[in-house]
Amino acid sequence: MIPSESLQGNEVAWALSVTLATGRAFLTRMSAYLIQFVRWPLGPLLIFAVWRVMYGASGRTVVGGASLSGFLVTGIFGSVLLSSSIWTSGYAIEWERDEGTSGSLFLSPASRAAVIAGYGLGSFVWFLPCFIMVTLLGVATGATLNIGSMAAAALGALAMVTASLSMGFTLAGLFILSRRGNLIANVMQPPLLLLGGFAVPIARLPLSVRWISNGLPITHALEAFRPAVLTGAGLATTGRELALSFGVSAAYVVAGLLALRRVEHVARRLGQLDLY
Amino acid sequence: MSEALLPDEPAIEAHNLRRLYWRRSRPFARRQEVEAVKDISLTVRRGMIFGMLGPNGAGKTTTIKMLSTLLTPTAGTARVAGYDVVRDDRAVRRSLGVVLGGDRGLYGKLSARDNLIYFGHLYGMRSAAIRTAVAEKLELVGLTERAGDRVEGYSRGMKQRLHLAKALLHDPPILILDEPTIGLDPAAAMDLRREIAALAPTHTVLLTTHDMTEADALCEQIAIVDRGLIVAQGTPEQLKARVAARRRVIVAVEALNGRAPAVASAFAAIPEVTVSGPEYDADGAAQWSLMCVDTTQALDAALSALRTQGVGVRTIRVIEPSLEDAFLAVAGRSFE
Amino acid sequence: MAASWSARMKEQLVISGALGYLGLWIGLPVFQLATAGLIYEGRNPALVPYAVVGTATSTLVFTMLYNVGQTLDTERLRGTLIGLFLAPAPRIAWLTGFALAGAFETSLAAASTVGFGMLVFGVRFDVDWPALLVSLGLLLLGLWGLGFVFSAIGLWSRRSNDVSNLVSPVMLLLGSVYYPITALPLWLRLPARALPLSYGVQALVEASLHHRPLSTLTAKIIPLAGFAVLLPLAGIAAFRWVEHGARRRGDLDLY
Repeated sequence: MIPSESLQGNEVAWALSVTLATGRAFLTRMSAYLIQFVRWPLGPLLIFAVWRVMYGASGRTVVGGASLSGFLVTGIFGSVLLSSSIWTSGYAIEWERDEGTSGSLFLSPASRAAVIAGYGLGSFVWFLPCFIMVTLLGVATGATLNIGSMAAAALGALAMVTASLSMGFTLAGLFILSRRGNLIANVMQPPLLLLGGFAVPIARLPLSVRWISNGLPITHALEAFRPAVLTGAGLATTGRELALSFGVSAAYVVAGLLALRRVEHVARRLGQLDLY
Repeated sequence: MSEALLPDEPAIEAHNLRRLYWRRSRPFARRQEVEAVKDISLTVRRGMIFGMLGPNGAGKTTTIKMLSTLLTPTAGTARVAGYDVVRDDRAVRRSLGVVLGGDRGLYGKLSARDNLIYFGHLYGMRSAAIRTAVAEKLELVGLTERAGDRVEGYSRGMKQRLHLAKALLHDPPILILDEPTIGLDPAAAMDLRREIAALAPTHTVLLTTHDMTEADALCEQIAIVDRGLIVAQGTPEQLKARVAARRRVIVAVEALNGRAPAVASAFAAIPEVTVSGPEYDADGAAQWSLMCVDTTQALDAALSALRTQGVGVRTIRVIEPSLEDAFLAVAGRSFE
Repeated sequence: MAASWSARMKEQLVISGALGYLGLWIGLPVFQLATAGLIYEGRNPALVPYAVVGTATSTLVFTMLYNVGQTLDTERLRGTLIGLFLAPAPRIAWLTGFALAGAFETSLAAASTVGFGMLVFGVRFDVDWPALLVSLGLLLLGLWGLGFVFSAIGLWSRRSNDVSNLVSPVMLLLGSVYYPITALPLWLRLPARALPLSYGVQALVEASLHHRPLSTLTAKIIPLAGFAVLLPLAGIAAFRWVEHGARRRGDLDLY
């Protein structure tokens, strides 16, 4: 390949190109079956409906200081992003293994982190219709937006996406290293859905488990995003949670990248790299 | 593609590669050590097709994995395109196109074109270069017309051709092909071999195979691998010359009527002849294979033995030595 | 039947490991129940015991969906389905064997849910055993049949995991798992009444929490009995239809 045809001297441009290409390939693969178009948007909508009926039966109309539907819409956003971090970016290498392409992937010189980010990017695009439908359903059932500071709302949304991606990096390393990705993903999802504060405010969780919630970047992101879009809170109110969210996310990214490097080293030594 | 190669440096060089695996037969059982590769050293000159020939389990794929950075050697060193496979693994990957055996390794839900575009990005190619290269490689392997179809609907032969296109996409100077024609029907295998043959001398190719004919037809140099060691190395002619003094005489006989053991004992008693058989053809006729130096003497003795046993001769053929004979000679056992 | 049960159990244990297997089947319902409990606690605590019984009952549906419903499609993906079809053993025997393997997981999940409800939320039971056993028996028969239906759908669609993931939240919403049917909006009550799970949960709640005898549960028991007869027949018919269709198209060996 002649140099002008290659991005190999420019690591950032190359990583970006790999991320975009992986996201595009992810979307094409996801679109292969009609049922995927139904199942993915419908699942979160139905869960929203279940939570809504449960709260209706309990007689609560205000949750965590916000309207019930508003609280739940933002909670569904968070839960979808958590699922995305578990099942797409986190599960990226497992997907490759299932497909039988992990050998081809590891034979390429591309950055593994860029591939994982590509899965995350693809999943955000994939879930866009779902976010729109949940928002519409929320509005139809009484959710009202109250954005006092666009900066706080935008940073809150960015924190949610960053948190999801950072968890994906960490989980990717954990899943591959354990060789039990599917099992761990299934086992960890139910507790994280509860402890993330998506359906129930963190303040209502028992103190003994809140330390787990505080260790999740998505929890802090949601704690910043919710008041910013539902009760008009500004950066002065959400700043602490935003800082915590970005800080914990950064720690997750570093841990994830170190884990991925370690995983590849160990897998090459054990002769399992092409099995992933 | 930039290379770290000096002008006379070989494309691939391996010194005393060794690889151990540890396996458990069941959970909590004691780990067993398996030595997949004992000691392999080889040198592949630039622009040549180099074959690693050996039966299943000989250590060919393990060697390939070490050279392509999928596996860390337990001992020994290797350089590909001038880069160390352990220390400079990323540079090695840039210089390599690899086709791993089997029909996996491609995204079934993507079309051939989309697969190649994606791999182009993974190898750091710019979009414009990818477009040109994808069209070119699809044409090269004869998949242009089916380029938009999902790969999950491809035959095994088409997938193998697509693997080759994928390996060639970023125009690597070196290609490693692990059993590229395995599982293909004869016509598809022949097509693929033609494409591989055309790769030299612009590319260096290291290919593994357990197909003697394939190695003989494609490779300029062959290393015969058995039980984790290279037991012989040279051009196909050199390897065959090792057994050139020996001929294979195939004696097919008429109805044996229960005298097979007696004939076998009589053949086994012929001096300086290695006997194998009997094998039976589709009509049920038996034949023996006699490896010998002096064909006339061996034939005389064989015919005399058959006369003594009252068994008629159907056909006699004298065959020039093949790579299979070379393997038999150097490995001390038959290929299968 | 015993062979398919044993094969399925061994496979599950090898894939998940004993601890993972327990974590998977105990964790899911327990955390779902915890969410319901935290929502109801303090405002409508009477619904907590209801949710305990509902969640425990829903495990029957989920193990059926994810085990029996997906088994054949999984066999197809592995390439072993053709072996099952070629074997002269009755289909119903190996399908029931797979369902029995699921029953073990269900019992585990249901027991842990009930235990969690008692320990954490202080739920107490007042059981009418004949009513409980009859309701449970009828529900199991209905779900056994529903398992065949989903097995056929999974095989036909070739996307059994997606089908299961699509159906499970529908069951949670309409199956009266966390709340009685009356908590649903009027327009959702009609489809809710078409599900055996709804009647099963309501009957089991009455029998296990309020000591209601069988005679007072006829409004739930009669529909349950209907499902217990109809669903196995529907399941067998659906399965035959899918197999017949595959033979007609000539793609049985592709399954």
